[in-house]
Amino acid sequence: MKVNPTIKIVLVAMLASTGVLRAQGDLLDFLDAESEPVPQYALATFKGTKIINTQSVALPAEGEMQFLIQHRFGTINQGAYELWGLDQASIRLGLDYGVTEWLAVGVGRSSFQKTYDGSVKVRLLRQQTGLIEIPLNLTYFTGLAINGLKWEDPERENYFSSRMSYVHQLLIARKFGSRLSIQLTPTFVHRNLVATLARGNDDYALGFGGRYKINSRVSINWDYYALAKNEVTEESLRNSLSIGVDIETGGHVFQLHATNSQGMFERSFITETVGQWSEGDIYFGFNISRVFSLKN
Amino acid sequence: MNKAIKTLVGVVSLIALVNFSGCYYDTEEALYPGNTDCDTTSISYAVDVEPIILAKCGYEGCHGANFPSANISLNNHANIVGTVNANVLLSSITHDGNASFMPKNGNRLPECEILTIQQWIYEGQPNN
Repeated sequence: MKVNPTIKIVLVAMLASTGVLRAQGDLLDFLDAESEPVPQYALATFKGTKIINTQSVALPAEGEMQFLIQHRFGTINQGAYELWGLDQASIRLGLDYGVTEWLAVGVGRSSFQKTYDGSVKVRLLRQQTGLIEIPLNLTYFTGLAINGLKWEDPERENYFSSRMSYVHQLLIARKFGSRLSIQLTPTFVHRNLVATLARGNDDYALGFGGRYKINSRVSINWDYYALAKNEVTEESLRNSLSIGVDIETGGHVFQLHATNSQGMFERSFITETVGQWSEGDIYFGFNISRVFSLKN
Repeated sequence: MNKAIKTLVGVVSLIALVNFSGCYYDTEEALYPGNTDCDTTSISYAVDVEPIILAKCGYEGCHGANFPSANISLNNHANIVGTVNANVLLSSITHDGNASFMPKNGNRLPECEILTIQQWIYEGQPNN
């Protein structure tokens, strides 16, 4: 039935005057007042549990197991004979499991220095609005690494503790709008055995990582560590800088990147990087992850 | 909510405690004091240099005689000198960025071993 627009206006005016519309408005107000405000979480601050080398604030979901394969080729400055580093490879295989929504544990094995690592990641704060306002994500990460290489000098008295090193990190991240995420990562690394007292067992570093989303599947990522060096490490060590692209393909996050760090566990890339970008000591590599649900 | 926060604090404290409690502040110079002296005053290829290179680089499956990695053999004096002259050996072991870092996927050689090889190279790589 076709209704004249003038009649429509008159009908609405009449309804309003009888209080029907007002009553509907009151009902909505009533419903709003009754319903609990719900937390609106900042979603996908980072797509993967690693930005590139650095741990991100993201954890595997509760009951999910993530299988992470990390791969670094040799440096690209080796020329055509080594196919710009593609003839060489270093790999880390890792498993991370979401025990609860806020707790994850992980293990891994790197071919680099034949290192085993284990880690625990705890989500302390989650960026959200609604119920309460929390402006950032805060996650605590701690890990240990065990060097599996044969003893340099098997004749001397060697201790298992000498193989071990530890890392403690606070991952502080914020998602700005829908595209940009930034993470600061204050870091403490301890190694049980070092060559000299002057080298020092403890290292401190500050990480600066981020993600800029290009579209729903692709983002640009970077991570950088400023290492507090001393007179021994000043000459030999470099700050780690990695730049890459994240490609999301359904169940996978595929990360391609270039970095001046060969190792893929924290102690190595934060405190043992010797490659220089300016000299072409750039390792091309990728991370690929697959998630399996272990929850019934 | 309070219970959840208490659990969280408990778990974090426990993890941090466990991961800090395993810390030692050992140094090689204190644990193995005899090893800190590095005498490079009279280097012999046969006595000082060759044993290091054969043990760390020139063995079969790596840079040995048969099917050497990257076609670089480090199994005798002539081959080692050839690698030195190609400016590869010292760069590899000192990790100066001009060649692949060696030992591959391993720790840098102990400083004294690097200094020994370096001194021998500076002296003209004699077969002494």
